[in-house]
Amino acid sequence: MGLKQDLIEIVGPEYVSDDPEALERYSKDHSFVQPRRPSCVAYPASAEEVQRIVKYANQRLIPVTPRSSTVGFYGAGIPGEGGIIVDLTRMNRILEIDARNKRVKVEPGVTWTQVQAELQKQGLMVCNPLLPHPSKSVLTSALEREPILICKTEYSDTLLTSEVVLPNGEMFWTGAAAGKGMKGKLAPDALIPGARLWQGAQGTLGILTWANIKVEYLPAMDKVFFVEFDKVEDIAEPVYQIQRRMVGNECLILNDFNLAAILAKDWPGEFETLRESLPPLTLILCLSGLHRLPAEKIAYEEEALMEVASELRFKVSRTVAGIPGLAGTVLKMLRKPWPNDDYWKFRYKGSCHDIFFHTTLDRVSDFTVAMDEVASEYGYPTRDIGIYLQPLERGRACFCQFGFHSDPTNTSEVNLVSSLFLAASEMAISMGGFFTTPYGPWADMVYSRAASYTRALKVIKNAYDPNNILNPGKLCL
Amino acid sequence: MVTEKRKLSLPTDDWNRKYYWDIRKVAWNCARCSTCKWVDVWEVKDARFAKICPSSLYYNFDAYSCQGRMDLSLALIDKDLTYDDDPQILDIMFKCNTCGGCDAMCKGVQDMEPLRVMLEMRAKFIEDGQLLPQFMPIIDNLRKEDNMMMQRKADRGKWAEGLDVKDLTTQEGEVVFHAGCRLCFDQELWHVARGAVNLLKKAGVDVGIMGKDETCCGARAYQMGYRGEFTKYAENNIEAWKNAKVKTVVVSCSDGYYAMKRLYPELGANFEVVHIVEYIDRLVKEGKLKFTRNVPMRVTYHDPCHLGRRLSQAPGYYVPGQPIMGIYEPPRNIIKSIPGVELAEMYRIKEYSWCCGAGGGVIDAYPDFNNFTATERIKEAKDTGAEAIVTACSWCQRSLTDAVTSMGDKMKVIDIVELIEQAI
Amino acid sequence: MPLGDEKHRLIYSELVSMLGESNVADGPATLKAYSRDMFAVSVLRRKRGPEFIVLPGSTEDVQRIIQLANRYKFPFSVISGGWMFPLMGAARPYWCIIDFKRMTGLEIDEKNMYAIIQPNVTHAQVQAEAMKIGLYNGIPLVGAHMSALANHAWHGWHGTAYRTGFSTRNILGMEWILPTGELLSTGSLAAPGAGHFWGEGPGPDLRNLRKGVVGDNGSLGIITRMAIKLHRWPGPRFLPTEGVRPQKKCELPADRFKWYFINYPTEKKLIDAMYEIGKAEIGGNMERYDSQRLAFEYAKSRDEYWGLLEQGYWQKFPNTIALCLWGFTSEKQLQYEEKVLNQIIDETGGELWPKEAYEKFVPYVANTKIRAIWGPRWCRNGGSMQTGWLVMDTLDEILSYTPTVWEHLRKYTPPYLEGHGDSAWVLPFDFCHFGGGDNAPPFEKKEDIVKAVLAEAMEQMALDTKNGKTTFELATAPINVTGPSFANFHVPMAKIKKAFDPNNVSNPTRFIDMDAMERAEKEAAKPS
Repeated sequence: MGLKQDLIEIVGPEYVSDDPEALERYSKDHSFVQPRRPSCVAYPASAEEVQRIVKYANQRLIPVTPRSSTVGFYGAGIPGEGGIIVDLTRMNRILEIDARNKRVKVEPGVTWTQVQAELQKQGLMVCNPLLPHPSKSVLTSALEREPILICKTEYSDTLLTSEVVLPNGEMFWTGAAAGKGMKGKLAPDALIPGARLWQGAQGTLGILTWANIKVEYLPAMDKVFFVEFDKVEDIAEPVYQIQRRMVGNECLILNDFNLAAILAKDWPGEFETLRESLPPLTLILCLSGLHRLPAEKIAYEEEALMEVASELRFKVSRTVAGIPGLAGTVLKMLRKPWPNDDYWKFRYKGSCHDIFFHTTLDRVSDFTVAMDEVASEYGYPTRDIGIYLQPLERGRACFCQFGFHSDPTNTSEVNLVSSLFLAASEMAISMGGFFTTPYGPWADMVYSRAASYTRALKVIKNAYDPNNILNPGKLCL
Repeated sequence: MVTEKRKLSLPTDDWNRKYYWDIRKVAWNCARCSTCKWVDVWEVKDARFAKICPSSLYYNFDAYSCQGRMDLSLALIDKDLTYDDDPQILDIMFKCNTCGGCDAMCKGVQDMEPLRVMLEMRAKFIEDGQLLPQFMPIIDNLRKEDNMMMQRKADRGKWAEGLDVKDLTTQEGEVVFHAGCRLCFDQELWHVARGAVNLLKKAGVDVGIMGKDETCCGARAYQMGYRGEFTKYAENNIEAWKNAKVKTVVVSCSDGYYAMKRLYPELGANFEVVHIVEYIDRLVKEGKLKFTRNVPMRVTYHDPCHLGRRLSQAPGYYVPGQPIMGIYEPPRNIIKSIPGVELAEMYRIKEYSWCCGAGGGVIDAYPDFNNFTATERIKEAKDTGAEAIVTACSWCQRSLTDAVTSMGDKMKVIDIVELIEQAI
Repeated sequence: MPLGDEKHRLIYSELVSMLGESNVADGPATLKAYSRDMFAVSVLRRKRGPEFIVLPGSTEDVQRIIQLANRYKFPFSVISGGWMFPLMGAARPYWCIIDFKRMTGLEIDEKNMYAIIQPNVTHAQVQAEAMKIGLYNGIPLVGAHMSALANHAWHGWHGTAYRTGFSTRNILGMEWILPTGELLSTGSLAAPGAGHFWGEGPGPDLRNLRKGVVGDNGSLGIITRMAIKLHRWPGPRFLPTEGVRPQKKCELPADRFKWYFINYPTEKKLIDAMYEIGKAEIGGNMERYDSQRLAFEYAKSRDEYWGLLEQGYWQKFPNTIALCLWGFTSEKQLQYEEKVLNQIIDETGGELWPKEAYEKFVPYVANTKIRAIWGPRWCRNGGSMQTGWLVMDTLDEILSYTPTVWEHLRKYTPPYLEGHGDSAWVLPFDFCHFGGGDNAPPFEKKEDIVKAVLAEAMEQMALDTKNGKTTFELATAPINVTGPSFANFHVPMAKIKKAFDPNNVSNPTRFIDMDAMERAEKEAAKPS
């Protein structure tokens, strides 16, 4: 029997495709990673079907690449060596919402749109990254360790426990979920290894079929503030001090390009107007109060914020560029995904290629300057770089994202941005930017500089996936 | 929540109900918690000065910590090890200042007397003929010349030449000033002994000395394990003071103070024993001594072990749960009441003070270790910005002075008597 | 006693030429100090000791020692503070214990809130330096005099875990020497020039490869340098204390810190209140005190402890939440949180401790949660203690498993000593997303009792396995024993161990018994 027929035996005829158009769709995403078509796509509905597919693949030595979202940005879901795409979007149940223990149990196909809408009914939320794509898998965001907007230490490390189909098709559970008799199954650290081993793995070590993810209570009251900055080097100290006082929930910095792309309703007119009028950089800080005496909480945090502002002489406002109702507008967006498929990142030219890495706040301006320099070398307008800076865990680190835009139908533009992307990435790595999730071309750049880590990962891969079935070719594997 | 009545499960061994001294039980009970190696964690103020145990810090191996000595002691008691099994046994036991820092820290969390174990084991070593070679000439000299300084007995009274003070070998007197071996024979420190006598006289105290007939108090011999020698000298002193009708013994040396205060009573001594700082503190409070001169100086104060925590650590003085008391406040009261003096405390003080390095025979047997310990203390003193380190023990003063010299530093090391003299 | 044979002499001479004579020991008297601690297993095995103790001064020294171990096939383990000796004491001939006493490096990055530590740096030392600059690190309850690195690598329940989280997520970049001697840098340290500031990646996070609720006991290698998170400290530079040990008092500034001790009629109500407090996100540190712990930590002597038992003093407060409010942002945060807390206390039916008890306990003991000191008091009353059943999961799980555990423990009481009531200590993490609970029944350190305690521990493990509970007891057992009951997680781990440690020299038999694995494989491969 052929591959397709074998997969039909597992998932049913409606849920297998070798249609060339479908295969073409799965062969690429928004990254520069070399496209490669799979042989077949399967859409399992359960962990048991996933297991059977993986076991089958092991017997036939066919690569398997898991996909949870209908949209991909970084190349992790491109089947580098062909084989089977396991599309998990049918597994889209929110299995449990547990307000008492502040967690939600989701299958991999659950999207941000789905989960936030459902949780909101109970006054809850998953801490989200910046305006995720509506179709992005929540579980994948947690696996990819996407930085969250709220930089409270207590909120971070959102992935708790999980169920994993290992590359040999056996089931595994991480953390307290490994104990069949454990009622909560929530503590991420129980036996070894825990779920962190599967984070950042780009599906090379196992396929998660459910995960418990932290939820938090939606604040009862919020007050959004803005601080304008002309230069990146002016940002670090205010953020350090604000975060050292433990003020605020959401705290992020966007440059004029990104903020305009997010706020513009009419395109391109309003975008250009906004871009001209917005300050070069805007810090967005949301003070929040939970269900008990929220106004008092916001009041003391606001007082502290103003003390810091007075000491460091920066201005705190309720809007920027005189935009009316901006605080309310931004607040409505902060805890939700982007509302539609006209994704804000793609609005400018159709495609966006982010370079992102971790560093410390005091080094952010060095990287920003360097990005500008590389962009200029390649003739890319620096004003077209989208900058997003996300302080993490009360300012102990900073996630930096630099977006480079291209028209995917314009080959020379794509080539230019592609070359720029590689050069800028190389430069950031050489400056000590830490690429925690080395997608696509970053893998070689990162792992060529981390020989021991590479060897260790290969040992782990060999232990879990001796036949090298799962997403081969990713990372250094 | 106890929801049913049942017979309480209490310890089968009385020792676990209420502590009493038993050398093997103490050694056995060591939990290796390592509390004995570190300063009380509530008091750690600087990472550089966090250790309490000099030998643990210098020698590194756990054998040289209190915990390690408990393991060794247990092995010897249980005959899992014999003296012949390892030539290091003597060094392990004797490379210790017997400062009591470990013991004080241990008592914060356990009912134990680990220092007593170590001192008893030293005595046992001596009894078993396991003699540390470095001690032998010192003890020989003690036996012959009645002092621990490798000097002639005949020279003992020289420090007091020209001093107008009662001779208690020919006269009676209620107060005797016992100078101690260090002050008698260390010429650089004679001024401390002379100063102490002068202060007492200035305050109207009818003080006398034994002069060249003074003998060792036996304290250091006790620390080294030579109990027989200690007893001999203690009894000798007790007899001499009785004959002189002494009621109060004043000392300037903390080792001597400890011995006379804590060990002599078991041998029949019935005198009031006062350290010079206690006496001066009392006189100041009574208005009999006034500090009239300004002494503009930033100083720090080093708590001698035997004036501090060791006072709570003597056999029979340990009450589990009670504070590790010592003479901590009187010297501080004195310093603070001298006009112009600014007291800057070190990180490790009072019951968690760092040793000067001289105790336990270390100054004689292991000079490098002594120097290391004292140097660490000087570094800590310098960190306070003080120009002088003040102490109340002649052995501390010698040890710290030598450390300053070896460091090529200029910090002054002065006895509290010297500071007081500047203020009067 | 050391074997003293030709192999021993060869190894010794190599170690000396590598480290210097003063940093190598093989004398029986020196080795004796590395033979036991208070835990049951080491009490029974105390006559078995190592053959060498070495004191490396650097990561390179450690690498060389390990390379030598591979050449001459001698086993090694590591020690810093030295508690949990059962998991690193000598178990085979030619055993070498690597003692980190000389590795005392400590640096702090104030702005980016982390400390870089070598193994012989205690929590107290890190705290001393951090508090000077308004920062803080979480303290384990065994005592702040323990190695901060070892604690994070092995277990690490911070007293402030309610905010600062479990130790694993406090680990940043690490230097990890594999059992072959190869240096593996993890987290941001794997990226040249990035520094120590971040713990994950690149790619899969290896922190979880060697750490669950407990670590791998060094079986997958040795960590010689680790960066750990520091957190905000709104308090004074030095802990304000009065008095003399052990009757020390500490009262933190009243405008920024306030302790509440709230008793509840039932454990269920207590847990409900904890959840409510976590939901409100107030407090700097919180835990449930059981009567046993109150007594352990309060009593300054055995006599006092047993006297309190007879009086039933601390049994009046069997279900106590100890919560300290911290004014991180300002004094007004403290005022706000007090109001919120009082609402919660009213709603949940809590009762504040009477003033007499509060003043007896709080100034003298409470701040051990912030600068721990009293952990070793747990073993005062008999000489030893068991670590109980220590489970990590939701607070409700902890509550639900407690009766089962106590039913089991009562069968062994005696020889376990009186525990002041059947209750469990509970420590929440991350604003009560989950937590940990345990008890620590004391026992007398006598050989016959120790054997009975070990039998209880084995029975507890069997019970936990049968009940499918992932507990501390289970986590300390070799994973080839527990793995079959927990999704065979030992199978890939054995492959990893084999690859990382082909000569099985890195604390062999702990974590995973490779000899037993190989025997089982051979047995399975035999034709039937």
